[in-house]
Amino acid sequence: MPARRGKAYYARKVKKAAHMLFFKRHYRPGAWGWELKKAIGPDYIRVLKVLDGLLRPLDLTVKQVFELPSQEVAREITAVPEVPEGAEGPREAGGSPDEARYYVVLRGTLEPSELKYCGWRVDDIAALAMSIGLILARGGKAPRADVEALLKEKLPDWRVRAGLERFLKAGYIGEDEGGMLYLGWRTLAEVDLKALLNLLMRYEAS
Amino acid sequence: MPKGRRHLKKARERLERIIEACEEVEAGRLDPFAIPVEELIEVVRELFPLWEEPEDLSLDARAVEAISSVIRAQSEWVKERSTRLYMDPFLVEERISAIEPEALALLFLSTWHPIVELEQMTLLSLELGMKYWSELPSREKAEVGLEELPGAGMAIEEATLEEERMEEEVEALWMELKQKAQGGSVPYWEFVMADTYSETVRRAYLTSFMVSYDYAKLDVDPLKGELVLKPRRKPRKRPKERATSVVIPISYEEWESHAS
Repeated sequence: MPARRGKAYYARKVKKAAHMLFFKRHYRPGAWGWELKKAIGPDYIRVLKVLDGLLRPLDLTVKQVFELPSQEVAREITAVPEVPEGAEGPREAGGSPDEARYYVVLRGTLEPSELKYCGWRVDDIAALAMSIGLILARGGKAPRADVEALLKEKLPDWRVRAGLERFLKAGYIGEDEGGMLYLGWRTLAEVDLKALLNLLMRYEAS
Repeated sequence: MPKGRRHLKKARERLERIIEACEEVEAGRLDPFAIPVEELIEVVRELFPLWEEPEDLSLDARAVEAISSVIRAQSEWVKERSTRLYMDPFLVEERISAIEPEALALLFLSTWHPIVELEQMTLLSLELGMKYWSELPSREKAEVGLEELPGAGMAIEEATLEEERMEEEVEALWMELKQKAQGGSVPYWEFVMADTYSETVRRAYLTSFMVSYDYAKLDVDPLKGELVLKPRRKPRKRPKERATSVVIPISYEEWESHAS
């Protein structure tokens, strides 16, 4: 096997990776590491890095997401582990890259004026932020009734119901048989939860 | 019921309620500090002299164990917050309630990196679709094929019964099940089987509604491992058990194997 790969070799693989990440298969976009490995080869991480470089000028990036259970994510996010001097930084979540899911996400963020192009209203976004915040605060799971009660403090009933259904359908939140809401796969992929919590804690009304 | 027995029954119910509350904490549905541990221990202590039967003593032990699990959850809660720089959940909740929706949306926007995905029809997909379409057998042929099966005369119109007629038919079937069961249960296949395949499908179809509308319960006989139907004395409006779906295939081959 040659040590250095030619441009054409990677161009073909990058194209394949882009197709796999951009197009939805079943009901979710993106692809699992093991799927990419099977389709592209064992050097798929390298291929994804090339793709990431190509996407940079478009303000897009390839994101690796380890889908940990909601409660584990909440524990990681809300607790800042103490790192003794000389020790390595906090442990990265997940294990082998093959077990992660890969998506193409916006590298930067959206301006409020851009929201309407994505079909979101500002109060939908606020409701989503409240739901995610409450679930995180409750350790990764919160009763649906509690989330609804919190949202109803500021939004009409019908908008709360419609909003929660939309979040569930889109994968931002999930609901178990006991009526408990948890963080969905899309939240793990799209939202910088640690930054969100930090902003919430530092926010001061002007 | 004599006064003493009534008193004992109430005492057992109190213990069961304590156990249930503690189990809610263990399942993560209740804050461990929402349980008044000292009060519960006092109740358990107060009730202890009443217990004589081994079942009651076992219930008492279960209650003590459940309370101890709450204390364990409380201690883990304290330990976690004291050994790590913890972001207080109560504070987070307070914050979320206090921030105006618009401000919250702006905060969220600065941490949100939406997934980019595409949906597009390509020439190749259309070509594949057309190829598939040309190879797909027409429905007319498929239906004729079904009609040709011995006894497979069940038409779709027969299956889509009008609502009222359906209710009457379900009730008639329920009466039949009650007669056959005579207070017990009837094996599912024995009940739905009929002389023809179409009649068997019709009975299975109505039986599924009978179970869904809570006229009867579908269970598994633990000894024989077969599905059994138990009629209820009267249909329940609100099912107590958590609903589950059971798929029972009823192909022509399945029918033949049960008929033989």
